[in-house]
Amino acid sequence: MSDNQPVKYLDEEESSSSPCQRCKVENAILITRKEKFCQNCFIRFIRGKQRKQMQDDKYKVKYGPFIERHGQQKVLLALSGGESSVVLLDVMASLLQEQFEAHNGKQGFELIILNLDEFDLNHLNKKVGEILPLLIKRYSPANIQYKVLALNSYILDDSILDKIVLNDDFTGLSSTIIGSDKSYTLFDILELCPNKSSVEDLLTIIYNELILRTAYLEKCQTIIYGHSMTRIANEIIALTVKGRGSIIYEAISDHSKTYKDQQFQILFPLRDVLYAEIISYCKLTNMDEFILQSTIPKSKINKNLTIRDLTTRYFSQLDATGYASTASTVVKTGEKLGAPKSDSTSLVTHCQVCGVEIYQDPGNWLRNITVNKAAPIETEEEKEYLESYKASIGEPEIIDDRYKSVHICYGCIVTLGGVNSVSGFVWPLKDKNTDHFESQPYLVDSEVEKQKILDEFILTNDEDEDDDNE
Amino acid sequence: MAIKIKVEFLGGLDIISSSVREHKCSVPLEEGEATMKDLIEYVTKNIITDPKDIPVFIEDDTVRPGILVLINDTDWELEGMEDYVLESGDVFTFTSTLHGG
Amino acid sequence: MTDGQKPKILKVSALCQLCHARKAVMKRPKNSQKLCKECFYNVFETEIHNTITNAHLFAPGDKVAIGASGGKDSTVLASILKTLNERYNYGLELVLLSIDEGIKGYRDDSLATVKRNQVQYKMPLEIISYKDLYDWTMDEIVSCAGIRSSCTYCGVLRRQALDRGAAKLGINHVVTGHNADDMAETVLMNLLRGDVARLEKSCTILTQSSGSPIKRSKPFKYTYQKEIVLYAHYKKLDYFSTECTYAPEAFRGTARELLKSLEAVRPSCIMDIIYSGEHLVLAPKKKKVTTQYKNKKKIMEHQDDQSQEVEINADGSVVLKAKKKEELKDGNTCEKCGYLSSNKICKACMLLAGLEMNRPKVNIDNNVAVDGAAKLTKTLEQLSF
Repeated sequence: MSDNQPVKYLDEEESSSSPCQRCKVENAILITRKEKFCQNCFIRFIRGKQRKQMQDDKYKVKYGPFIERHGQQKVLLALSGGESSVVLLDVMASLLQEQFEAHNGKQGFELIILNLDEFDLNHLNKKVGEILPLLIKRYSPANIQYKVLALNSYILDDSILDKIVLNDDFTGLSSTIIGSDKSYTLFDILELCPNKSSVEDLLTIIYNELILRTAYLEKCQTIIYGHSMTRIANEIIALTVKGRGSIIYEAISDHSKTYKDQQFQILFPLRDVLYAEIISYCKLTNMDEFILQSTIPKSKINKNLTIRDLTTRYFSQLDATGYASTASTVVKTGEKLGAPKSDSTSLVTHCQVCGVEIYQDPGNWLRNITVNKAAPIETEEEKEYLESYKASIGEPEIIDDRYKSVHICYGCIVTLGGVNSVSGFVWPLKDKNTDHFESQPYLVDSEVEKQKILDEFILTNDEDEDDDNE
Repeated sequence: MAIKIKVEFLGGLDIISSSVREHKCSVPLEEGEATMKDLIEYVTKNIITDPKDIPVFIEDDTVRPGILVLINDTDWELEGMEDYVLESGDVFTFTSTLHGG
Repeated sequence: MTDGQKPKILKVSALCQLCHARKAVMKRPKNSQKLCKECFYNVFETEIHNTITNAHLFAPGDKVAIGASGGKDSTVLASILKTLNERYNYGLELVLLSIDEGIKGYRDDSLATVKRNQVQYKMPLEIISYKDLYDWTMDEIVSCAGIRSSCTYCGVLRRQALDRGAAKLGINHVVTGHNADDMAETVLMNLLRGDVARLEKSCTILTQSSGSPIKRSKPFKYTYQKEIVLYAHYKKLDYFSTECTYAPEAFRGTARELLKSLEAVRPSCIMDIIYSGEHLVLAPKKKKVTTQYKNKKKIMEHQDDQSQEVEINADGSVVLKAKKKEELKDGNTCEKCGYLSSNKICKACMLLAGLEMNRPKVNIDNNVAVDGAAKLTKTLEQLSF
């Protein structure tokens, strides 16, 4: 992926004359961050990055009173099957292995791999359900569980779906689709998107929700993602471009998140590792065969790419020095950001599409900078055209009390902008802040929800199927 | 039969055509069949002076983002962009929107 | 230009989406609306008027200098401010203020354009030259310091030149033609090069250093470059359009390229970036010192991380070394030139002093000079006009 070589491999001749700067024994095989590493020291270096990010006692093997204090720790690893999440799996599993060996079969935490199945969505080359058992076997006897969730499990039931209409004045309306004869799968909904970038935005919302939901059901306290430093930097830029800059502070930092009545620690243990280093790690540990790839070739035409594709490409095309320094600069800058300021006058509510907090009405902002008033009509010819226009549109649909106003954040207004006004958009609305809204009738009660997921969608270790997320 | 049209390079874009802003062209294609795509190719082959400057004008086989294209003074996005069918007498305006604020 | 095509009957789908009565001629990047010329003029002008009134940029009787380069942005700005001033009775006295940087083949021609604008818009024109002000032309500076940091020098010098020009005219408000694309680019650049000090304010429409009498504002903050070019084209405004001979610094170039390709995918992204930019908030500093943060910093120290603003004591506590370098304490004046400055010597004088030292040995120490100057001015770069 990188012709610019932020990680430089040494050829045989160079290698034989360059000792590893860490162990000083073996010959170095590569240079990264201006340091020469042998294979083992490089692997240890990358693993060390994760160890430092997760050095809390709760992830260690516990004895005596510590067992009580920390309880049984469960860590959910969101695995897309791309290099970063597979490397994170290797790093975490090797930690479990070490603990297992050093402590007579004890582990510091339970590791659960969650994959949201993108096989159909992205036309993957392999089924994750076939890969995962092989992958996990590498770390025997460490105990690792896995789950594969169908993307469609985001929509448990048609009854939670609403039709959403975005008006010209940037206000949103919703009405139930109950009673209409059409039923929607997730793929039907994605089909309604105006473009690929919007699909990408919605998938992000879906993945976050499904990962949290699974962590909740599986009683995990920690959720970990494989994001590299490069990926986090990319995410910061992409969020900015999507008008979602105000959530950067949370989206890319290690933070805790409340979902329903539970708190989750969300961590990015590889945040100090460059993407190029992840690729090297993957190669050196012979993990390449486990990587899931889309069989759809990435378009070379700009217009067919998504916003994240373009920002990703930006970082991958920087030269060797820029590759490391720009990513690190962007990440450090992102880490300095905080929550939006809210004063007592601002109504804090939540976006009913993606769930983020809304501090100021984004519609207002947009209305202030977007005039929708026509210039006067003067000539006879113009009047005739106006008449023929009026004749062509027929009766406008009456907005009656079936429609309720819906709160949409700026980012989601952008995501839904350009949705065909006839088909409208369909989505399971969220309603988290019941203080400000009437209570929400469509949230499936958690027990039923759990049963449904377990019955229909989850594939666990003894069954079979596929995956994804990240 | 050739299609007689006019091509204009504005907003500083005339640097790629030896500082000539207006070009009267006779595109050697059949009217009704030739499209904007053909015109773009014609421009790169016949109007751009130095082939090294082609990337200033073209990206991904179409006009580069940052260059505003007007067909008879109408935004080409309203005219089908590359699929627009050329007509004799058409005026094509390419304006660089990039800096020089 | 559309002669000979009059008889065509328009389809309803070809009509303007606001008036439904005239042929649509353009598509707005902001919201994909297709508009006719008249409605385009109307929304374009009204939006700028709204921007001006919402931000309370002007008061009746204000004397306002338009930073005029002869390029499309400032030419359209002059034209539209004249229009709006008359239509809405702003009661402004408008003056064109141009800077002659001394760039042969670029500024000569553009100044000629400004001089024509002076006649067309019946506004007084004041030209301030680098040569008069600093005894250096840009051409001389580049031959001395190299081309690489030309934008840095030019930006600092121009800013001060505009201020001085305005002061000379007894004006305390300079408006510039910065458009939405420029704003979005600046937001991205601040993130890409970690300019934390500017992050929160990068989208402010009206800026004024405390202590400085000169306000600056950007009435085109929410106006797309594409629409400015279209407006100039349809209104047949006389503007000059050649890129500055000294190309923009490479890094800004890559960001601009990224922005253009993003805009092709989602045209609203310019506004979306500005929205993000307006909502970026720095975290309160103390809160940021969490366990993870400390750990992270320790790790960073092992690497070749140069910006160690956090010191870790033996007991594990953390000291934040306040890096004051960018905080502008205003109200002082430069010891050399007497101009307002946050330091003993103002930025322009610092740059010029660096140049003076290198003037005799232009060809010997060229690179050193550039590196030194680049470092010195890294934080000043974004002042470019």
